Amino acid sequence: MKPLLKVIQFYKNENTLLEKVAKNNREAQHVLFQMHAPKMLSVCRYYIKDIQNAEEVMLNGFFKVFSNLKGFRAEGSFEGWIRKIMVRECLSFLRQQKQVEFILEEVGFKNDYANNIQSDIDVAQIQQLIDELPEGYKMVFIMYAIEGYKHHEIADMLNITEGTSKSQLFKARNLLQQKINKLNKTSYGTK
Amino acid sequence: MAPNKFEENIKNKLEKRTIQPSKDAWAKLENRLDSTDKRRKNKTIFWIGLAASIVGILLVASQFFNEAPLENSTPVLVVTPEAIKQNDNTELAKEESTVEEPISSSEEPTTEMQTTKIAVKYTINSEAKREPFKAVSNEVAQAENNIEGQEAEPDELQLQNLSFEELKIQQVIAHVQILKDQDSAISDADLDALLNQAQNDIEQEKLYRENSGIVDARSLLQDVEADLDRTFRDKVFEALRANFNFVKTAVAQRND
Repeated sequence: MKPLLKVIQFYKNENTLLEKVAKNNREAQHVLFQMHAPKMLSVCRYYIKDIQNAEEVMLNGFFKVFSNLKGFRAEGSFEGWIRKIMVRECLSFLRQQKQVEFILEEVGFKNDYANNIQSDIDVAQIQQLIDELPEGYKMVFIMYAIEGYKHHEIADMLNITEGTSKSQLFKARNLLQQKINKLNKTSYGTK
Repeated sequence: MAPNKFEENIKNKLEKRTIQPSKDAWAKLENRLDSTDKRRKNKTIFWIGLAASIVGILLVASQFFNEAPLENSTPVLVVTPEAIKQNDNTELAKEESTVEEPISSSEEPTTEMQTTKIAVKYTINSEAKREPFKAVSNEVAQAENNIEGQEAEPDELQLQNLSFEELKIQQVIAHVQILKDQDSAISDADLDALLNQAQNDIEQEKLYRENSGIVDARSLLQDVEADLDRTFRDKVFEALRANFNFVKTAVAQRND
């Protein structure tokens, strides 16, 4: 019973916090920011290589969160709602930065998954590999593999066809795998 | 299945990651929030101000439109100048006594005596405007009253200017009557002198009344137009012509 009560207590606290935030209480906004900013900055960093830009986008996202908190319905989780706003902010930032190209050329590479090796790679290396992906690949891959969006949702958000989304994911996977293999080979080579 | 596992692995690793924002990140966001709050407040102040001014304009307008008919219906404003007029008359009567002397000095000594006498009476009995006529004769006064009953009474409700002119007309008629009583022939020169004097009085009265004692340049310029002079002169002649016979008979009856 105790953990359940704790959870209820937590929700109550979050609800009162959100009420305060909605009333433009600066202190409550600061608490909410401190609670979610590190995770959201990490999410923004998935898409945006430059950490300063990522932070700027995250601040824009939080600004929208505070301005539109009345639009949040307590149906889903609050973190999920913030995260959606952050992802949209990142996508619009990338669109503003440069024309996002969804490369349609087939990258000639055979599927050669080396699942057992991945545990050796740390987060920074994964992020680096993702950063190196072409913009279109990267967006679709993160949205599908990490955010958990469906292809039709991705197609809607990126204003592309569902087929393009699928092909971009396929190509992103291949390229990422290729890069991981390369990384592993070099690391083995050094051994 | 392999890609899913691969992605799952990446996802797990990435999702565990958190990145601390820079120290001034919150300060930046706070500044932005503050500035928007101010803008919002300014907006609300602007709208409240706009609403208040509209309400104010409506109130003033409604008061203005409601008062307009009331102003027309109440005779209070017409009565007040009447009271002022009587006060002015007393002052002017005094002035008349001083102004009259040099004018009449050029004329016969007997008439001069009479005019000053009458003028003095004006100053003494200035409370009631019809008293000077009583001094001449009861009959004349009655006749005057009759005339005024017919003509002057309705004029009292009109503008002050007209009433004052009426009074002057009556004074001139009374003066002519006095001259006649003394059996002196009324020459054109005498009549002109009387008329000029009366005109001056009216002009002065107008100047004083318009600016409460201060002579107005615009009024002076308007005098040059000489519109008033003509109308007044016409009026006097009209009055003389219309009433002379009536006054004459009244005097004749007294003599009998």
